[in-house]
Amino acid sequence: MKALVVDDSRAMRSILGRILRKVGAEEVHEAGDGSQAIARLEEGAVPDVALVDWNMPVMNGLELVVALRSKKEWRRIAIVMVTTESDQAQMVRALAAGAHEYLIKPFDEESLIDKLALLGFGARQEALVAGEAGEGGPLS
Amino acid sequence: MTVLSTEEVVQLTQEIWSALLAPQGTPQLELDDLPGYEVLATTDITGEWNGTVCVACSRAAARRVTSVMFEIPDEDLGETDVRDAVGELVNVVGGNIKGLLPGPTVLSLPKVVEGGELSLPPHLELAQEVRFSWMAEPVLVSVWTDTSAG
Repeated sequence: MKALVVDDSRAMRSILGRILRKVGAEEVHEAGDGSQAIARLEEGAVPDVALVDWNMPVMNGLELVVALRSKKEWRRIAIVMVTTESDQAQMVRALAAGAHEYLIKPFDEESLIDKLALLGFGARQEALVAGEAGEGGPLS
Repeated sequence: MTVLSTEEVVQLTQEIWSALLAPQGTPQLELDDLPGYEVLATTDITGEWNGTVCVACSRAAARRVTSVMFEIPDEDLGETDVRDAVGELVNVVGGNIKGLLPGPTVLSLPKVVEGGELSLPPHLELAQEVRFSWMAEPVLVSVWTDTSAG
């Protein structure tokens, strides 16, 4: 699995990257906002899954979701919004724009692993066992 | 005007610490005003309700937060790492407080200041303040109403 983490916080990208590697991501790319994410995609680094924050400078997460759905070769990317935005109407907007799953910060590690498993990424049980065995990050 | 109860602030703060900084335990309510707020992170909420959410803490607490989030030892931390991690912390606290306020509202990007820069504009009026002790270090979560808005 190739993954892209789009969040303006390097700390949050670090946390999300650790969880992705735990569920088997071979490559985890990072971008600090939507426009950086688009630049990475245009360079050819098209991921299988993208974890996307909402509230970012330059290009926010919703704008990125719309952009990802507008181009044929990017439409296969599974999108999980990972955000503090908990307003029901905003969730509906994100899902209507093309996000597959929605996770509100703060989240526990299991919740993200569950969301990824629903999208067919990673072996949930193996990831959780790895976490219990001491390979976990701060969310384990 | 009280926009949030003390219990709501305590609960969401402890939940956020538990999720993001689990191995280090949750902050406990602190009745005494511990000295040493050296790092201040803020995020503004605008819309139906206008104000600012602040997380203030000691430099040691800020570095510990950063170390846990990045999973790197204290001696390898840079100042930009600390600002990034504490900024994300107030972003999550602010986002959760936003969810408890009347909406619709928009959350700003976080700002982090240190040391002598610690001050808030005079048009902000304290609406809620909860003091915590986390790993024997002070942490303060406060919510301020913008009296200049609407």
